[in-house]
Amino acid sequence: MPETRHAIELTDVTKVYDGDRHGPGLPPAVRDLSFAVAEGEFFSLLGPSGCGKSTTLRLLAGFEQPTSGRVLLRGADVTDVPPARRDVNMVFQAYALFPHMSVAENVAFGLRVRRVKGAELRSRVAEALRAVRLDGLDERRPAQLSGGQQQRVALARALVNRPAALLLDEPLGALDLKLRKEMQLELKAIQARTETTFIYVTHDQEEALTMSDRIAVMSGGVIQQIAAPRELYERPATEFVAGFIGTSNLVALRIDECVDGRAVMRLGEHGHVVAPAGAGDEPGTVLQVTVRPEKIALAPLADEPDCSSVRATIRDVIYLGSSTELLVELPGGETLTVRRIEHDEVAGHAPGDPVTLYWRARHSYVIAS
Amino acid sequence: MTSTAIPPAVAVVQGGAAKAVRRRHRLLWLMLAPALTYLAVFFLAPLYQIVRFSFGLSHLSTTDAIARIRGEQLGFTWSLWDALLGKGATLRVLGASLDVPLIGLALGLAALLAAALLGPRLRRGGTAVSAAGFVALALPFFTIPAGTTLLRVAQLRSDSQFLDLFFKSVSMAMTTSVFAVLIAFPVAYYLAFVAGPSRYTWLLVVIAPFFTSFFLRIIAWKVILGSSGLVNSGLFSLGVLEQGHPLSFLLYSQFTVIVVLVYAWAPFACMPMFVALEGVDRRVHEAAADLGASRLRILFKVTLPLAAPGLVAGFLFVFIPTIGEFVTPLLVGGTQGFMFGNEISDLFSVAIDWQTGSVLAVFLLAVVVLLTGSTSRFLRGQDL
Repeated sequence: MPETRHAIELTDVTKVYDGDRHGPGLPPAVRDLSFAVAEGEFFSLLGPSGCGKSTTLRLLAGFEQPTSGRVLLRGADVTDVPPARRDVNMVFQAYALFPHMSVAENVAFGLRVRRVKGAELRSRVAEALRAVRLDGLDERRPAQLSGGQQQRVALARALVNRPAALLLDEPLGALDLKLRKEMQLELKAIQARTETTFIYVTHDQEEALTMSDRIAVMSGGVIQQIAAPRELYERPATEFVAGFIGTSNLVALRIDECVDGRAVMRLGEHGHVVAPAGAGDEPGTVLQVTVRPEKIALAPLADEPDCSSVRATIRDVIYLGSSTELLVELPGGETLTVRRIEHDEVAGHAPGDPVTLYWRARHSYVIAS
Repeated sequence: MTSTAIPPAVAVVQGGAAKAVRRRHRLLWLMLAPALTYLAVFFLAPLYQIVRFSFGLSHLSTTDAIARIRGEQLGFTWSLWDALLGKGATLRVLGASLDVPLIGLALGLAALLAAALLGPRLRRGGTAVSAAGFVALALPFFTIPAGTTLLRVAQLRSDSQFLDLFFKSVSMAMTTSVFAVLIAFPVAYYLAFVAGPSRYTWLLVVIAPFFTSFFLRIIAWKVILGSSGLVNSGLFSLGVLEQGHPLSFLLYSQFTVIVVLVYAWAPFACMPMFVALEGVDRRVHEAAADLGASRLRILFKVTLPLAAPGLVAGFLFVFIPTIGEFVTPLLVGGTQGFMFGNEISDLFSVAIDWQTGSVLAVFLLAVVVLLTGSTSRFLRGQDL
């Protein structure tokens, strides 16, 4: 691996918090984490709360020491280096700005520690404030700024040090939805402009999909899958990923026949599901099949007559503004979500009505068990 | 007709709301009444009386003739205040000395106080101006008690014996407060940042001495510091001191008063500092560490500035009660440890000169009110 120098590399990192005197040790917060982040990459750690994503970030920052494993920063082992001497900077969830200092002083803090002085100090602070579009607010105190502006100060305070990687701990968590959407795009733009490696922790799958080059989905202290957003969405590696990224339409079915690399699963008189067959698939194998809600059509597909077609019963029709969702029940009792953009398509349907669902074989994604 | 513009239902609601507010106010006053009555009877009335005494408007003698014989004032006069304030003061800095007229002294002290308190409002260098103000204000009064001598950089003396004694008391209270804050800060820091969930247990330990009477705790120091007390007999048995030649300054000196006052008041300094430090967001510390700051830098650039109101409050929590202190000097101070509070006490009870005593008491009260009022910002624990 020495030929490509990664910004960050973790090898087999496990963190176990010591049990205090009131109880025994806890299960590992993170277990056997190994991943590498390239220079300039926007890398997200995504998972529900308690999945170990924040612990991973704190391990990278140096606020926590791994129980085992190594942390490498630009190829150098920093496992035992304290946060103050690690070339990474963190953007905290609640910003953690210095309330007694002006915006400019906040941004200058890291530079002053590094003994940057005079004209260089001023120009770098101004440059950082310009990068986050906060020029002109230098003399304000953090308390005089809005949440979004404080967020930018925190970003500038970290970016000004030109760290090997910027660690962001749910930085948009405290902002309202509209501002969050704006900041997502802006963060991405700042990241591209400054060519800084971002490690971004979030529990919001949409946020991760919008911004990231690659996403590591975490659950229970382990990484479930590391992939680009599109691959993660369309080819979830585990049941957890399928469920966490978007709506999971997960059905367990037995293969009835395999023809031309297609596995066909019949549901009696209610139709059949077609999926691409894997290497070891043969009649009798049980597959976990998932299909994304927006891939399901309510009319036969002209160009793929032998696609999946399943007769089901509508349980609920939910109008969502930009789309409409149907909750349908399969003969086996499983519930599927169908999302259609065109409201006209759905107009005639009401709860209790029978409906036939169609989707392409390649949209039936089989999850490795 | 304007009344027709308001629909009857709305008018009723408004009337009801106004009535409810009035009722709430009446209840509030009713609840405050005992405290206000108490304050009026036991604080304001005596205060009014001693203010009258201090201007010669009242005297203690039953008739004017007796008052004249006893040398009491018989009508409005500034002379009692003139006697207290004197004509001026002398500032000694190291070897040099500078005579300052009274008005100059007052203006100088006011300017330093203003710099200390208003400094933080400046756009630039506010902290430095404020700190310089505090230091300049404290310097003429701060001493390091080293045995029988008091080490000091500067000293303020007055030609009035009363004001001179007041300066001495300020000096003792100032020294006590500084040492109390210095001793209590690490404790408060430990409680706030290190102790974790056991902090409130430790806080209870800090205030444990208050479970016994103040008087007993002072008397205990006699046992420790007396000629044949714990310290001296310890030094005898170690052979450091020759038998029969104890360290005499340990008891009945300014040193003793300061030591005992620091002991008695340090827990009071601890409380506001603990509260202020506990209010400092730990993540701000982490952010500073993340930006590369050393622990010392974090302490001086982040923790101390953010906890500054707590430090000032801790200082005042000790300074304000100790400046008028008279029990401790009475018990362990001897003649050397005599303070302004003792002078007031003596004027009222021994010399029976209530007019002079009143001047001293009103003056002390005015200084304390001025200090509390001008620093209330800090006592409220507001941001700088």
